[in-house]
Amino acid sequence: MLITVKLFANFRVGRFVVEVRDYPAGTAIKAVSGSLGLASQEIGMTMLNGRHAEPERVLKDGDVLAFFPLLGGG
Amino acid sequence: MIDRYAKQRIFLGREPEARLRDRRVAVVGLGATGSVLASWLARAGVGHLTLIDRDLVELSNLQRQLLYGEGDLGRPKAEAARERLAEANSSIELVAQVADLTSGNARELLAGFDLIMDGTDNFEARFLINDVAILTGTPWIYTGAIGGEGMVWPLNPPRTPCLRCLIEEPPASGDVDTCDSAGVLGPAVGIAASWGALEAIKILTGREPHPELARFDFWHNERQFIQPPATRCRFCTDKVTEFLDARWTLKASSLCGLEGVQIRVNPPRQLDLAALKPRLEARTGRDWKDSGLALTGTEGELRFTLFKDGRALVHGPVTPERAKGWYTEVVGA
Repeated sequence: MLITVKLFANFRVGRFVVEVRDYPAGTAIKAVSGSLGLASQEIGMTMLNGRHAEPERVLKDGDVLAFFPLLGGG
Repeated sequence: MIDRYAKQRIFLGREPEARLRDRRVAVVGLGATGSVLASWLARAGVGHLTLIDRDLVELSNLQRQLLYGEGDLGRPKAEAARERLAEANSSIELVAQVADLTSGNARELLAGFDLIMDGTDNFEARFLINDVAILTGTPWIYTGAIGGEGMVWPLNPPRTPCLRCLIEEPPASGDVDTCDSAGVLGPAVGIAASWGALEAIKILTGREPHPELARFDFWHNERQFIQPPATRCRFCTDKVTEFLDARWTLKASSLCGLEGVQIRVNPPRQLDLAALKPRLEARTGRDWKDSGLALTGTEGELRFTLFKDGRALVHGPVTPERAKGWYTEVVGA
């Protein structure tokens, strides 16, 4: 199945901004972040089709997945 | 009637605008975001602002912390902010709290407000604010900024999700960028904080704030609005306040963007600076300066600032462990 993956801020360094990637059916969000080398504690927000989603959520063909780091400064 | 608030009254309407005079807001952290948050709320005529910050104004702050000038260097931010805001609006009540927010004082410091504004630069403080919000039902607004990015999220658990519905635990240092690793642009913080202040005015005048988490990358011309989690976590559902309940006594951590270490005590204590001064002068063979709020002096190549509430800053090449050792030796555990 094809998943559009978007990365933001420093997650793009050495990776990409947006890519359409092929994953086997039944792939969960955490498997995608893992395949990109993003550690769970680095990820502040995960957005699936515009809504916050848990790492265990199983993806379906055509989903748009975005990972953001947290912004802590002030 | 043309008065101070005439222009915002035209926009907000008489009755909602007048509500601002009765509202009490705590601004936690008076750095770059806090400067902007507090300025807008003071100028809008929010009746009471409590300004909470533990730090002193430093030269590297002036690039983005709009409340301070060169004449404020070395002064407590909360005090300098109160003075500057009183110049902008002398008709509101402004209270400065030079204090470190910890589990030992957060309940007390954040009691009795209609809204808590996050002007902090760290997750420990935000998780404490979130616990207070869970416990008391007080709304709060998360405002964060780093590099050329900013994010704003109004929260009011249990009506809305809480911070822990999104992230269960604070990220470890090193897992997120800081002003030290990514730098920060003044205008980016300014826009994010102005967005936060605008959401605050909505809440204080009885409107619903933006329901989504707004995230901007001003530098790369991007923005996203993220719908918050649809379900509630066990912490806000069962009013579990782990961060408020945490019992630690002494912590030492590296300073963000500066060579040095910060030492924090919990709960804050009252140091007798006048009694410590001769002891430190005897130990170091140098003069120490007591400003009433803080005692400053040097030992070897390190510069120390001991605050009345027990906190300490150690500037220079020092590890957290060594700084903690010095503190325990001089002040006690």
